[in-house]
Amino acid sequence: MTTAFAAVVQAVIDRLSIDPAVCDAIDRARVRPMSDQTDRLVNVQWDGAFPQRGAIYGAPVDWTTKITVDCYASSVKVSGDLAVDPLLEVVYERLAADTTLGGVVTDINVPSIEVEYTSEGKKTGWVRLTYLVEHRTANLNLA
Amino acid sequence: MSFLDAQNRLNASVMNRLKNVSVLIAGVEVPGIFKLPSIVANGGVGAADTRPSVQVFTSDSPDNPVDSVIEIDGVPYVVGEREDSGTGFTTFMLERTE
Repeated sequence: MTTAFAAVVQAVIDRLSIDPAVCDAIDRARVRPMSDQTDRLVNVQWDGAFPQRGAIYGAPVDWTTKITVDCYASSVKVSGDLAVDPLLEVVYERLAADTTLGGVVTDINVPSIEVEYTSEGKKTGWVRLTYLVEHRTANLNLA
Repeated sequence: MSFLDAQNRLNASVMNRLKNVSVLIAGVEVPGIFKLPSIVANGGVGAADTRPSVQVFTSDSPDNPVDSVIEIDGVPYVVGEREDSGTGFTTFMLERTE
């Protein structure tokens, strides 16, 4: 049995993996850098959750859960922002097409977006989409 | 022998011992010391990459090499930054083009 948080992460990954997948490499809770041999990667993870105060004892709990989707892309031809832009576009549109993630959540809402670029041997773009996902769990457990 | 003479003599000895590439700068071939260490580019958990650089005599460097293409043993790189040691050597931080 898994928690609702793990299930939300899996639902995001499942959406991104639908054929054609948005990217060949889709990881969850990745802690290692993208390898030098990989040019594009998506990482999905759960970064925290905030419960809404319940008004009825024993009622289900409504959560706002922070899910981050990191997009990485490297290129020797174009700048980091242009390298990651197509991946950002396809990831955003894939998740926006079903904001309930197949009925798993109430709404993923529109994400906030952070960006960072580097230029070393290659030019790399990193984009983080932060979704504040609304969903519900039963009282007394996190299912 | 002045200190400058001693410096130049030492630099020549270092380059002679450590040079590992031929660098084509503005049509002129000069000796260089090339390095290609692994690094992790910032952003999220990061992306594994390399940080290529080549060290040449300052006297062999053009005044403004940034954004120009040089060749190292036939492989083209773009000069991203120029760093002068102030003692006769100049390091170009490079970016890959292929």
